[in-house]
Amino acid sequence: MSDIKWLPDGQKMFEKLMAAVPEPMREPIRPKLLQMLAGKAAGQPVSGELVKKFVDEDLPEPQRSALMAALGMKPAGAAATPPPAAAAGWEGKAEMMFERMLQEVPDMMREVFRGKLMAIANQKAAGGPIKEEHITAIVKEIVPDPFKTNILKAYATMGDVDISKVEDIIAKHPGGDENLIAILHDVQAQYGYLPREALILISQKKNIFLSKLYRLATTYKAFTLDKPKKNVVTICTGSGCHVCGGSELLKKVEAAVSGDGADVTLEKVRCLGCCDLAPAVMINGQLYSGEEARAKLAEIL
Amino acid sequence: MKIQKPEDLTKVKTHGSQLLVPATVRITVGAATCGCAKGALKVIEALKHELKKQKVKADVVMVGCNGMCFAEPIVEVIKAGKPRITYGHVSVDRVADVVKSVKTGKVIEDLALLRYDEDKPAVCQEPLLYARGKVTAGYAKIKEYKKLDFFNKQLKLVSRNAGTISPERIEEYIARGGYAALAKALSNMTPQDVIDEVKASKLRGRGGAGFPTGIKWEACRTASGERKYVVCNGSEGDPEIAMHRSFLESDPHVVIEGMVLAGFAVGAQEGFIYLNDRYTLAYERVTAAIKQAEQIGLLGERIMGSPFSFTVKVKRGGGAYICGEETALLNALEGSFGEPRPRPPFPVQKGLFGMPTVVNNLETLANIPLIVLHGGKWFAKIGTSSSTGTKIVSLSGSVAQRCWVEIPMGTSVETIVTTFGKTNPKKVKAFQTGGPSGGILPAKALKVKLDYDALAKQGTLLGSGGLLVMDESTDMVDMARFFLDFFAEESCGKCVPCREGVKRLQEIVATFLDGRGTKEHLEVVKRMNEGMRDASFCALGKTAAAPLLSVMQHFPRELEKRMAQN
Ligand SMILES: Cc1cc2nc3c(=O)[nH]c(=O)nc-3n(C[C@H](O)[C@H](O)[C@H](O)COP(=O)(O)O)c2cc1C
Ligand code: FES
Repeated sequence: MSDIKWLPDGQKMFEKLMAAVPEPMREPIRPKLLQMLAGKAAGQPVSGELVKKFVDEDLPEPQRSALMAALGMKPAGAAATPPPAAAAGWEGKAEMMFERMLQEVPDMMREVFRGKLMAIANQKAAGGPIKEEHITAIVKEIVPDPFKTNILKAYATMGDVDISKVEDIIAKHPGGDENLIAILHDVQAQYGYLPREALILISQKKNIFLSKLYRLATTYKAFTLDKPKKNVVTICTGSGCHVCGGSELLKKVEAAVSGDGADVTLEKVRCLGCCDLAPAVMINGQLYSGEEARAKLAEIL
Repeated sequence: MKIQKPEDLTKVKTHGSQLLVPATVRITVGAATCGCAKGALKVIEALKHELKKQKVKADVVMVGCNGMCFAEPIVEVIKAGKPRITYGHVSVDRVADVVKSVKTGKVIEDLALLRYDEDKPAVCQEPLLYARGKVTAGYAKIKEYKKLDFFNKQLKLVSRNAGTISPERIEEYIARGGYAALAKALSNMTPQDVIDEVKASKLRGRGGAGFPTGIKWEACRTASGERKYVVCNGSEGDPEIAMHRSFLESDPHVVIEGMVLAGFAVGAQEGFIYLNDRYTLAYERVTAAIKQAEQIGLLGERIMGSPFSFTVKVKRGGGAYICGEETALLNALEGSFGEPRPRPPFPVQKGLFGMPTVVNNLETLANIPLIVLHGGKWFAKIGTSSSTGTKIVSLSGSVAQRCWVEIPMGTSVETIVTTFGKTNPKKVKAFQTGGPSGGILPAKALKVKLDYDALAKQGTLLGSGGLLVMDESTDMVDMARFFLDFFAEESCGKCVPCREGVKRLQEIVATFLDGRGTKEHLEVVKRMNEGMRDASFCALGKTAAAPLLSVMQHFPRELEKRMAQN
């Protein structure tokens, strides 16, 4: 770094440039950029203009356009062409995968990336519809880690959940943070759990850190991040039911489902709110007690 | 129709009365969670089908719970001019009999629990008159509700409508004197008048701490803030109680009316009900009730033509015991994490969104309409001198009949266990009041009266009205472990004395359960309790040792049995 002579506006422009680089990439890539920049400057002091020139001429796409946009530069020749759409449509989950890839791009640069990536995808499709493998190829070739790993991991389970309803749910609860819990409740009611894709979407739409959503989802007991199995058994271990054998029942059922093969999610709660049924059991949303509970449990275990 | 002035209530009232005491037939089915769990919805379906089949016309109505959860599904038949008959344990295969009895006018003796010739709650100026003329022989065989201990030892004020009216018909609530208190306050009282009545009633909060409600309201009224809020604490996090659920499923309007009155008194225009996340049916019913009240002009802009406006919103909780604590609750309402806030500033000074806020327990608020309508002095005469009014108590555990009842303050635990629980006091080994933070008392304390101060003297608390009964089969050391496990799960982890203290207490109890306890361990518990009591951030940590301490005090032998033999 010592071999760069900075002009004040050059240093400022460079920091502006760095700020536009996604955070996890920022420090790892700094030495490389500085090295490239030093080469460009060839011993001359670096001005703001030179930094811009460097971005325009030396960086690869799509980073080039994205950073140019972030620095407020007009890409040469980018005369207001609308971002290209999929020239011949999509195939399979390709569009969903494309959007998922874009989720990893910081807001500020997302639209530029969209245009560039779309162009590459069209190129790969060579006149035909864009296929899943085209998108996967783009991720593998262009996207740096850690985003690459994240995206590929997400692709592995993609399509198991259709998050199209989440947008409606979010729209139903305008306003700020005070409605987050209501949104999470509705999402959970829709899917039976909180799919990661849904949380990401909420985080983007509501401009909330994903980490905050995860904290809400994990500190409050109403929510679960795991997809429930076919049967959901909830056993009450509130004090009213504990005294009447709830905890023993829980142990028994726990033992029964611990082996493989039982398609059962077992939950325990502190009071189901119907202590007269003690020990109370809820099976797939329906309350049972006594003989009836035993029969129903025997049926699914 | 829209109610534009207080007098308009009368018209709605007439309509409601016609529904409650019909010119033809009304059949009600108890369809709160307790009823639904025992098949009430199937009973309703079967009823509708059977009525068609037998060509009988009747108004089939879903009502809430009258406290007799043990007898669900409960079906009531009201035939014009005849007593109202309550049938218990009505399974689907008995529905045809019920419909037949409507046709023939013959009572089904083996199902009938009781009858009402008239329903006259303690404070209702207009009782519901069912039977006209002499009650005929068939009916006379069935006991009248007033003669049953289950009813005559109760004093149903707050719960006067539960199980009688439809939670989905605002007319029926109004017919029972609903919203009359609001009409009175809006037309003849100033906010200060309302506060004065509440102060005169000596009503104390039903959420646990027993703080005088009137004083809380006055503090909120005088606090300065751009906006103010009323928050109804329907978190009901204590295990073993479910009155709030039952309440909102049976008579949601009484809570709404209480909130509007609170808003009027303290100068708030917005109210929130924070509801336990598991109460889905209650959520649906109270949401529907709010909509009805809005449609008819009892919520919203310029209520009953007065300058006062008020809205109520329901917010479901996320499921955390600590969110019952008022400041943690406010955090949860704001969409944040359920951790308590430092106090002061108290919520009445800086509460929801930083504005002065009254947080009241749901039952506290349900008492307000009666106080406003009948006066604070009237209310102060009920119960004991330091604990006025009634208390809803939820009876659970080792009793023959698990139920909830409303009793005047000062009723003894023994009365509750024998009369309502139908359990011989000799079979009782121990009982606990006040939920997890309450003390576990031995059977010899059964005579204690339910009253804030009497229970405090015994080292426990009234809390939110749970009464858990344990019999000989219950191991007291295991109970201590149970409650510590509960606190370990529910501690929010914000402060060290609570988070770590509970863990260490758990370890100590575990050594006893392994038969390795020592006297020194018990000394450590006492010292730790002092630290937790003085240094915990909120009452959860301050009281977490209570169940263990009470076992040490009242059941020392059970611990000694598990000490290391040396
Ligand atoms: C750990 C903890 C849990 C509580 N849970 C509840 C609850 O479930 N319901 C409730 O009304 N109050 C609960 N409270 C009491 C509230 O903090 C508060 O005192 C009450 O809502 C005030 O209303 P009141 O004056 O009408 O009683 C709890 C307090 C603590 C410390
Ligand atoms: S304690 Fe189990 S339902 Fe209440």
